[in-house]
Amino acid sequence: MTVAAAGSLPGEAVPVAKGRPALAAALRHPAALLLLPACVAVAAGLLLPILYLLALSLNPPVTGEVALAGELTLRNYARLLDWFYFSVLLRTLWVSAVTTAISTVLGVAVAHSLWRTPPHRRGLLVVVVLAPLLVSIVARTFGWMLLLGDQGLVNAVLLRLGLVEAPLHLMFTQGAVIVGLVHVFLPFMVLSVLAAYDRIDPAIPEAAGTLGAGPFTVFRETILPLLNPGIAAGVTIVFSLAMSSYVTPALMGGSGAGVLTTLIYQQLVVTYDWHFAAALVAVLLASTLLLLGAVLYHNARRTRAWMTRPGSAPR
Amino acid sequence: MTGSRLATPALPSPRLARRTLLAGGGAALTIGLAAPATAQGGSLVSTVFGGVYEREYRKAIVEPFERETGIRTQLKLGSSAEWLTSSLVNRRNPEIDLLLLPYPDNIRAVLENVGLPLSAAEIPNIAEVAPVWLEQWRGQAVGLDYVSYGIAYREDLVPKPITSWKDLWDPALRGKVTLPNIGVFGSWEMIVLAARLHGGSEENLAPAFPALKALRGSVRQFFRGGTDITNMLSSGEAAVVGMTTHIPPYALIDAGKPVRYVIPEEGGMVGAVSYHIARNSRNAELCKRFINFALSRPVQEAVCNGLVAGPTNTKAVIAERTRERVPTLDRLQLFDWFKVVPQMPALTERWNREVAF
Repeated sequence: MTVAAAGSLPGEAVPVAKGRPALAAALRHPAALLLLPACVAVAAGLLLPILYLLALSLNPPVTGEVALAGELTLRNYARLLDWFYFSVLLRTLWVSAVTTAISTVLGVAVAHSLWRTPPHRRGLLVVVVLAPLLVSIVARTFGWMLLLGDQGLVNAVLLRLGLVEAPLHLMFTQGAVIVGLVHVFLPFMVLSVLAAYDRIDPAIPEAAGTLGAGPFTVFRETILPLLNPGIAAGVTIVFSLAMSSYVTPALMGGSGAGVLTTLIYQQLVVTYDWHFAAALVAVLLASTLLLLGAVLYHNARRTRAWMTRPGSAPR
Repeated sequence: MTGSRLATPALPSPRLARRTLLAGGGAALTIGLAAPATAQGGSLVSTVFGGVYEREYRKAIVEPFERETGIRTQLKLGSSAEWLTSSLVNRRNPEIDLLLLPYPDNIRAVLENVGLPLSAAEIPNIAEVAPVWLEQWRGQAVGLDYVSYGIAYREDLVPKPITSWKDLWDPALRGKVTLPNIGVFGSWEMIVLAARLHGGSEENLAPAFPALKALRGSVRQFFRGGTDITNMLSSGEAAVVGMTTHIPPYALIDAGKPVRYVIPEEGGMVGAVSYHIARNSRNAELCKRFINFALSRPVQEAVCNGLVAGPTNTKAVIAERTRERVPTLDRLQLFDWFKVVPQMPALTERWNREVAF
């Protein structure tokens, strides 16, 4: 769902978004009814529980109580107005943003080489890219422990080369969490960007080259703008997943690496304070949506600027 | 998380959930159909921790009990938080007749008035149980067995043997210690212990926090379950486990790793599981027979040797190997959980702010 929404955002969304007449036109087509089951499923499986949770966050906190009460209060949110919770939110945003940035750079690079690969070898490479998703998170984490642990491969090499005197603490740090997250979420970015690559006519970069552009200019001026919808989709997916990830920070983070989801889990399972947990969920959801909205809006503007820059053909 | 007793991982396991479902479904079936063979003896629904615990528990208690009485015992797997929630939600018509709960959920159960009062008049073998294992739950539950909490460490990775809880604060162990994350088994015991070591008590847990904050630099990671302990200790990622039952370290010792488990000189902490009969259970009489059976001397010996735990029946004599691994109560320190449980939300908040985040 997010892919479609984000993919159609830049530029293309403009002619459709003319309000009611467009909607009415869509409804006149009976095929639009095919969307109905999906809408019902999303409403029942996603929107209703989220609304219930948001309503719960407005009830006074009672330990172990999960039923909605009539009394409305902002007490759960008032408790959040505190430097501690703000710093955890900032850390969550930071970890997710860095994860997304690294995934974007690596994702574009991997997708670019996949695009250049002859079709008969591509299937295998795509499976390799998807490999992290085929391994259970626990096995994946142990794999990282073998690499990053005090007696792991990285430290063994560094010690052997005499670059360090004592093993570096690489595991159970914020850096380890980011490495773990990039590892899992990179395939989502690669696939989104690859889809955008596949829509590029190979003649376009060739033409740019013929006109005298170097490889970097070709990439920056022709390929990157065309990849933009795919990157936007990838950013949406990776950032939302990173913001809501719980297991990787729990398994690979150490002391001082807690994120918002850690607090949410704790409120639900340790202190049974569902109301405060619901308020934390609301903050997580709102900050994810706000930041993504800002990024996608900026992205859409940039795409439009590219499309309307002097010399480009009107679309 | 609160349900993971000794060595079960704290993270939700889909497999466990499925098994719980299956067990639950099985329970529903037996209640609904009441097969002729069991109709005679009746049936009851109880709870058990998964893994090795379930295997030993069935072998030592459930199977002989069913053979002897014809009472079918359906065991529900899952977490203690789940079982407690079920008994609170289904108070009028309990789904679980007999709860087997660890700390702190067994204290919560008493605070919520879940269990019937138990006495030697109805359960004769209670007379042989050390009074403390009834008093711990204000007579609403009785202990089945207990284990110790102490320190586990890698002999080859620490500069000198550890003998005292205070050794955890030794600067030589910087970056080498793992402590329970809040809510994981051992975490509340850690807070109480840290408070007691620094002039506090159950009523005054505040002194624990500056002490734990000072320990923060020594902590490699806050563990989330028994698997974290065995992994970190066997890989050398952590050299010292600040608060653990004997189960994860002895798994490593038995596998030949250079690990030691010690009860510090100030006394170890205590973990215990207890039986609670749901107040509105229609099978309360069967549950009393079950408890009486589980507390009898031979069954206590069998179950404690199987689980490697201490008996609550004072007449039970456990095997040499069990005795080596489970200290007698005089080497352990109990505390008043009823004073700690109501403070848990506030303790969690302080833990987050000052220690973990």
